[in-house]
Amino acid sequence: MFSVGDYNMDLPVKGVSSDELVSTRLRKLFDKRGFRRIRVNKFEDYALYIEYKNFLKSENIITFMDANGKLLALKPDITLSIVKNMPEKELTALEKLYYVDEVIRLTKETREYKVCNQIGMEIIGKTDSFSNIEAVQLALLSLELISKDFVLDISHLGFLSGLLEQADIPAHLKHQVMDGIHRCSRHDVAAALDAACACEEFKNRVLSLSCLRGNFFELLPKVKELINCRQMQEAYDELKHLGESFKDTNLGKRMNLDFSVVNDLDYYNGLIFLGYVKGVPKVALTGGRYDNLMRKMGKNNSAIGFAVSLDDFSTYLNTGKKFDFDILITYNENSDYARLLAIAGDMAANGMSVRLENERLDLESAGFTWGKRYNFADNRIREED
Amino acid sequence: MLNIALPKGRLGDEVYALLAGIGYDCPEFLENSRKLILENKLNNIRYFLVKPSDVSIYVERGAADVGVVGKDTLIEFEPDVYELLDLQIGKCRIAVAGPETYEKSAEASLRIATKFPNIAKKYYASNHRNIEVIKLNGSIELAPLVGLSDLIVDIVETGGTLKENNLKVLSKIMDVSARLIANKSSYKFKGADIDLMTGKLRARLENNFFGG
Repeated sequence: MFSVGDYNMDLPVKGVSSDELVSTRLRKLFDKRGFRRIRVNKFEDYALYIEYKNFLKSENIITFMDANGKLLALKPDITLSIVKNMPEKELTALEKLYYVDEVIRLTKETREYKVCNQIGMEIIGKTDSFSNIEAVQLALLSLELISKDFVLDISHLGFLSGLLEQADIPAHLKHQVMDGIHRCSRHDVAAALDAACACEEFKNRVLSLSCLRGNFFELLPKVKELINCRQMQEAYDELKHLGESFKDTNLGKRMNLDFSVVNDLDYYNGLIFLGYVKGVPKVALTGGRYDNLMRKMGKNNSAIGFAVSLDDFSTYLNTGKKFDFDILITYNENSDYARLLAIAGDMAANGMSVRLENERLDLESAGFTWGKRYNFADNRIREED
Repeated sequence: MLNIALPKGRLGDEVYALLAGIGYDCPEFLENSRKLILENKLNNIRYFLVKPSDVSIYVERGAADVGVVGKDTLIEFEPDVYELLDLQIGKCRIAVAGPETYEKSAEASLRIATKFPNIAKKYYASNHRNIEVIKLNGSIELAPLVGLSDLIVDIVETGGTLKENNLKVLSKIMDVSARLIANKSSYKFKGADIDLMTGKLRARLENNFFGG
């Protein structure tokens, strides 16, 4: 009798959906880099989301009362729960964590709640500049494990806020400027700056920044030209330092600088990034440094992390799956079952998915499809049409 | 191949003329057929003809790489797309309109008929007015005439339809025009093609503006 080792578990199983493949690959990646897997409770105190509601993409949350009358929620976010459970004091060592979990979110188009599968990592503690580099490298590797054709758009909120703080722009117009930059809407950025009566020199500077999108290393010199304060210089230095670790590497070729990547300054700061893979029309990976959230939650630590939304991959990425299973082997009551199992084991060890069925049953009418069909009877295996 | 979602109708015709003028022509477009997909392999482009309010859905979900849509739709539905260019066509305004005899009352809750519930809600919230939104899909002007609503929030181009129905503009909410939008992921992988089109459009618009 064969053992589980015969199944050669390192070979990918054909027909596994893309989201499962991605999840498996990324888990292995995080395991190999010494990240610890954590599991977060399915339910969370609703009060957490009231206090930090702007951190969430949507305010629509499913709530319910527990047996003690406490209002709980089906969690719409994982990072908030992880941060909440971190100690307030400075950590003596970095926490390098990853999770594979579900969040419940309202879909914009259908206004229905949906279970969204996510895998993500967080580096929490006394993070340093290498933490940025490690997070960006893992983000790039994660994208590469999803598809060979990918890009990571990188921005620095310190650079943007350093620039915007130089003019006395009313809060609502500053929000419009940020929103226009986020949508690559040069005309709206210009209109908001005109409404704020910004001077021509400042306006040109912001408009130049809003148009910076492209190869990370080609754009860095252009970013340097825009510096005119300490905050922008520090942000630039951080970007430059990050780039040095990836210059002339294959991963580095996938890095873009793109200042349209913006996020809520109340929670995020410093480096932020978004990942895209060809063929998937939505953002595949979101991440960044969120020291401001840590501070708001009373944690004396800094943090950087990212999350990958798994659900879109099975919709948009083709795994080449043509059949429900590669091989169908039918047997009857007289078949040698031990031999049958050994044959199935051999085939599985070669990376094929094998289904064993009694020849009396009609899988075709049940809607199943397969690559090859064999019949195992009288201790002989014969291919059938 | 660049996939372009065009709004059916007059705006679509205007946009096509603009695109054809900068080298993105597709002779099938002028044949008045019922085809919804028109392709010019030489130019490496494919046009999809869709309902104007659906353009942003096609682009946001990546079925089309770029599209042309009114700013009203972008503000109402907030699709997660890049808004690359104001095409300066399809210019109109979103306004509050009501019967010519309408008298303002600061206290009563207003019933507003509109295709743009989010825009209406935001506008009245910023004016500290309580409203009841009645979402309609067309013939908005009818609503106050038959007592379905007190006022409407709608697109106003010349004001002709309002006048014919004894309605008038009471206040302007915003000016709108057609915008070139792009799917964010498409932009990452077809950025050169999209930038080339955007650049040519921008040059054409600036040329028109300066009387060239």
